[in-house]
Amino acid sequence: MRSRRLLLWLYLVFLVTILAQAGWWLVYLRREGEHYLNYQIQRLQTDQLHAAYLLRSVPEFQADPEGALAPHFPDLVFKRTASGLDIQVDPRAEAAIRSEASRRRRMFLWEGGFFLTLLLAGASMVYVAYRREQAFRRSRELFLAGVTHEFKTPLASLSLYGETLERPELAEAQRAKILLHMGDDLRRLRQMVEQVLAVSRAESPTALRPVDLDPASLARQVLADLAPLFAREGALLTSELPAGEWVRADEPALATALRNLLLNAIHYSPPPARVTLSLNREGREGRWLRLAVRDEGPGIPRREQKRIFQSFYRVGEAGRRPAGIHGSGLGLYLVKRNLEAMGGRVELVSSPGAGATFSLLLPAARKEGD
Amino acid sequence: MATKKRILVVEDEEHLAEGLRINLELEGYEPVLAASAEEAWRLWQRSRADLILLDVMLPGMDGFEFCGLLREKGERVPILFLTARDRDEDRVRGLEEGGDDYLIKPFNLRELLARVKGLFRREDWVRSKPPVSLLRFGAREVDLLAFALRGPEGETRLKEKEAMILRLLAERAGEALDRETIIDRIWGYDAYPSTRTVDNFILGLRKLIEPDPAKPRYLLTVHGKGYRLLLEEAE
Repeated sequence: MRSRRLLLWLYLVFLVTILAQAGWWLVYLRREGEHYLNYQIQRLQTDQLHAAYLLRSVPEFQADPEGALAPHFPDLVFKRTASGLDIQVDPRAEAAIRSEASRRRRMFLWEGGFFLTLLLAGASMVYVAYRREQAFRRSRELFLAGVTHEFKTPLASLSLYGETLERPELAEAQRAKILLHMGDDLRRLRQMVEQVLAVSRAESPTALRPVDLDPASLARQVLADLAPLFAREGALLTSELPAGEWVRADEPALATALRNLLLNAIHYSPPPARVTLSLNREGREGRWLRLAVRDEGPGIPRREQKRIFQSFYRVGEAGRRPAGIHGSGLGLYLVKRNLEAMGGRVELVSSPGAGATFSLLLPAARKEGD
Repeated sequence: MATKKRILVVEDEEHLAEGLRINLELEGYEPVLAASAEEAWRLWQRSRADLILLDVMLPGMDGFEFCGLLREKGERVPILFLTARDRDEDRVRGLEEGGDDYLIKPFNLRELLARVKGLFRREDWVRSKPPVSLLRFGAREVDLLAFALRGPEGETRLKEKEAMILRLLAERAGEALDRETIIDRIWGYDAYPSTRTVDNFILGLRKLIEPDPAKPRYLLTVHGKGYRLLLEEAE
């Protein structure tokens, strides 16, 4: 933490130094430009004086002053007047010098501006990359901390129960209860292992193998797998799954997403949970398929709706979570990752007290025979 | 028959709490379960416990905050943290909030029970009457019963741990005690980084009792060993 701060400070000092140097460089070049202009103008004035002096002091020049002096002083003009020879600085020569000076000034400003912009762009890119890397590392740390906690909790209770079972003075009823709890803990651990493996699959999209599949039959398969749980919890399920629809999706990824939504619908509803599963086409020309899971639970407050898709949101950064819920903290995160990896998205419509509807939206594939 | 020692178990994981309850009962304690710090606080106000087993990650107020709250209210009940968080910062935080011991999940049942016993033993030692209750350091004196320091500047209250360290050193006056022994008797921690904590407490104590803390006359460092307390002859 401290070294990161130090690095940021050093970077800031470096940036300020570079900017100060670039600023000073511009000021310096501008001053040099002014020197150049003054020097050239002075040179013309010196030429003018020098020519006048030669004319006065060298008798040979007086016969043909123009012919003798003009080749030596190309930037002067010689005009004959009534009082003699008038020597003037050629206005074209002065204009040429002034235009050269302003050309140089423009050049320095452009170049300076360009390099400064380049420098700032580079510096901000480095900064953005650094921040992104920090955020990534932080989310990894939180993820790891969450995984560790979720593994350790059932492990701790299993290990405690294991040692407790060794106590001879334990009553038979207690022993039976402990064995029941151990079964739950093992299930929880197994579920956690599966979810973590699913996350690592979801995080490498190349592992996904999208195929054209019938979402209704996949949904029926998932429902069949969950039927014992629905029965145990006394949950009531209604489903509308019209046949003949096709989506392009990875089968295990879609099945995981749907299973997680159904499990949440049961776990977060007061028993008996009422869950509705439906499948519809929608969008222009029916380009999307919506697989929706609706529950009649307590609903999700608006401010929580985005955050629940983060991994271990329940656990949270401050280590707070609602009582009595034993999910892996990865379920909705996986739903979102999986859907996005397949070119789809998740939608949530909910308000407190009015239940929640989670929808999986996937691009519809051509119907067979289309 | 002696009354059973009451242990407040603050743990939101139902299975773990249940396992703890069964074992504590089998050991002859009276466990009381709370699933959150708020519930624990309500239970605590209704009837005090002799020891608290405290989880850190709790819904609502966390375990560190709850421990801090109890200490703020002047409650001196021994607190043993039970947590999956095993980073050094967490151990140090637990110590700073006034925790007495720290056990990482998954833990060994025998170790937990041994630590609970150890905390009760320490508690008995703290509550017992010290053999010498008045320690004299020049113009200052420490009253181990009142946790008070009296001197030319008036009276100051000593922190519990400060008083306990002084009492431990005084009970074995003249003998050098190493940091691990001090930690073991005062906190019961087996965590390594906390040996520094002893040094910090000693520095704090020197400021209180020494006329010149930079040149200690009473609370001496024994190089390569630990610390030693020299007492003036009581009158």
